[in-house]
Amino acid sequence: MGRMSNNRFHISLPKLQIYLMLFLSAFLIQSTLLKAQVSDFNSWIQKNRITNELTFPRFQKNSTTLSIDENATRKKLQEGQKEKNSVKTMAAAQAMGMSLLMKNQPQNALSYFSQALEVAVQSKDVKSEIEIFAKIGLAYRLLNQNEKALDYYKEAHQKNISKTSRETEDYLLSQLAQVSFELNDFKSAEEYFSRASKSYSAQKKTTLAAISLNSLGELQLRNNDYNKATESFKSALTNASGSNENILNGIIYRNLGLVYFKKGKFELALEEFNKSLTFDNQLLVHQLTKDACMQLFTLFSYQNNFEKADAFHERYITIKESLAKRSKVKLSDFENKWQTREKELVIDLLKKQHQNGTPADGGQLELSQLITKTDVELNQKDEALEVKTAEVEQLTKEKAVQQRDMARQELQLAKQKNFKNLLMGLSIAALAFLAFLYNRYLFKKKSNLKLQASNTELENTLKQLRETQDQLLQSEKMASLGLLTAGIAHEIQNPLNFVVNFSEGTLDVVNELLEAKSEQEKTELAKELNESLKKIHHHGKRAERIVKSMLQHSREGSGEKELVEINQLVYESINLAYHGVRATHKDFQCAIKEQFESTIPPFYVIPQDLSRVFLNIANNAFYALREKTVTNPAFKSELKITTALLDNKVEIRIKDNGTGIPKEKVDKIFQPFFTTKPSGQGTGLGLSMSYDIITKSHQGKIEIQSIANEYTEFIIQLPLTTH
Amino acid sequence: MAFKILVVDDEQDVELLFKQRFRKSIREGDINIDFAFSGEEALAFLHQPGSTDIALILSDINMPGMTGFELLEKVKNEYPELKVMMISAYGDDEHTQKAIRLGADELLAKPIDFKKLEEKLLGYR
Repeated sequence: MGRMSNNRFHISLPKLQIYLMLFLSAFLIQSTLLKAQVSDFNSWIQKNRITNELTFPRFQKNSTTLSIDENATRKKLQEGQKEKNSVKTMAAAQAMGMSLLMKNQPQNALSYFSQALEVAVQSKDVKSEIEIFAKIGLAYRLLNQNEKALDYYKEAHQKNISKTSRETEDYLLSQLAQVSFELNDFKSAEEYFSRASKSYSAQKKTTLAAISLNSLGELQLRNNDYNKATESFKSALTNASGSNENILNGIIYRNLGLVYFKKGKFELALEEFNKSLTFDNQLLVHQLTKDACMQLFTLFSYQNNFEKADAFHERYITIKESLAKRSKVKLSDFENKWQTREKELVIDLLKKQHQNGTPADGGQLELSQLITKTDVELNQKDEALEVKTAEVEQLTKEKAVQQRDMARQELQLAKQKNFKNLLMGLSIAALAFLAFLYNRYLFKKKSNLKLQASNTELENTLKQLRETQDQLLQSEKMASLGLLTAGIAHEIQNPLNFVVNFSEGTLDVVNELLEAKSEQEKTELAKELNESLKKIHHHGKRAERIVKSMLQHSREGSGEKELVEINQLVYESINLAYHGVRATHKDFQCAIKEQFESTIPPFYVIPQDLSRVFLNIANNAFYALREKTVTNPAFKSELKITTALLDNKVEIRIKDNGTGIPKEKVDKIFQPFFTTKPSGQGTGLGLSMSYDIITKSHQGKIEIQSIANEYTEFIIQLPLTTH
Repeated sequence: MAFKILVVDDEQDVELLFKQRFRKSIREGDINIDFAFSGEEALAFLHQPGSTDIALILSDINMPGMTGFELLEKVKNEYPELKVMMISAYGDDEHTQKAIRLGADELLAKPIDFKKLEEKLLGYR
């Protein structure tokens, strides 16, 4: 290997790495990101996202495809050291290091890189220093030592970056972003991705810009910063739209859909998923579509819009069925395809670079061509697979044809023989053929009938289940409503007492005022008038609030999110529940202790749904408190409500000192139809509904902590949704 | 001599309300009202020396801490002669019977009819 080519190798590798790493990192990051953020989808992402495999270019241990002539290079290195030729030494040491990296021997590579670094420092070659730092960083990443990798990348980036090429600078930025992300330093990762994307946009490197913008968006999505995420994905789309990067476009549309999904705007999410599918037939997107349909089904069911709900349920079932068919054949194959593709990409690119020695200026173009090429190949393989499944079905048919043909051949043979033989042959063949046909007919008929029967049965069961579920949901609502109306009628008497009596009293004051003689008397009476009118207004408002909160509970809400003061909503719901309980259990007393964080800004929730959650929890708490009072009359019931502002989140704790829940039952508390109340007293749906409302419609968390006979505490966390 | 009443209710606005509605009787010295905002406060008030001239207690039932019924029991225990009237938003039979059983003279349903109440109080005098 001559000096020139050695040098070229040295120059081209980092650039090659840049494109390679960026391309791969896009997939790497997104898969890790998705895993981190969409906890609900975790399991199937892990199952279905094969990009998990694309963690890093993994090279086979004994791969010789990329090896340089190590002996010759080692010799060059020794020569360089002897001749004190710094350029030669650095080039050889780096070439050795890279070669070892390719063979997945990062530890050995490091010793060569440190030799190169020593020379670079001695000869004050900052440009080489930066590049070697970057390579050392890469080696540490391969060693899974991300902290060290980060140090080196940072060191490289802090050097005089103007001395190096823009590509290296951008490469370092994207590496810093990626490593920061892997180290859970999301703030820095966001910063680096943002800088990288700006740089790529400025250079009109649209694909790379799109990839980093997409990663940026995913980080913002992870932080529930929906506005920013939407913005990033949209500019990623602008950048990616002109390209042939179908997969990339598909991913960005999918992510945009994911933003809407997380915002609870499932219909908008569906639109984006559909767009995504026109670019790339991703299994994941089908599953997301399926989930969105399920969400919409639930949503419309809650709103009693069964026509729409049914439509979405149908779509859900269709996708589910087609996925089930697909997944059996394709999952393992999908995996293989990705691995092959990864290898092909790496090898092809490196080969080309190695053979031609062309600098990587055209790298981006080549890469995109390669992606398209492999895309086509993948599609072909995809089709081949479908053909294969079809083939299996075809095979049974073919067998039938074969047997038929054989019968025919026999017939022909028989024809050539004498008439008797012919007759015999004919009858045998015909009989065999007929018997075969009949057999098949019977078999087919039987299995068809069986299938039909079990299909109808399944449909009926499903229908029955859904009807029962609807009825139960309705009765749950009615039960809690009945309890409430009784309580409210009484609760309203208190403010009404003031309104009625203060207004009546005001009439007396007015009469006195008319008869008053001295100015002093008049002023005093006017003051009193003013005061009692204020009281009338105050208690009138109080009554209004009570009625409003009852209506809020009974009304079928729009299901739309509204800007809500959470403290007030919690207070009113729990107060309502309290009076509901008191209406039927007149002696029941409970000290309600509120500790509200006053700085919580209003945020978007579905107030009717959320109020139902608090009502349910409070109803359960009061039930447990009453139970405890029965066995211990001296017991003082207490309900503690706390709200707190956390990062981007609001936490609501509701704690009672009632009977508590035994450990073995705590785990089941959110399951539908699970109830600890005696039969007839609870539907077992309250908390399961609450769970859905918190986790599904609000993307929040609900947890329960309890010690039997001591306390039960519900902890709810809601994201501070700003839209 | 003024007829002395102790009104017990957790809602502070009752003070203004009673003072306004009984303004004439108060001004003319027929009725004198003291206020306590919880059952506990009411008991403490009764235990003070010099409060023996209280002739009637008007107490709400639903109060945090000691309820009106608990107060009623205690008062009747210590001062069997003291008249007690209960006030409640729940004016049903069950409540009324419980109040009577515990020794109350009457149960008034909300909203309170002050005209009737005033007549009654002046009649007691």
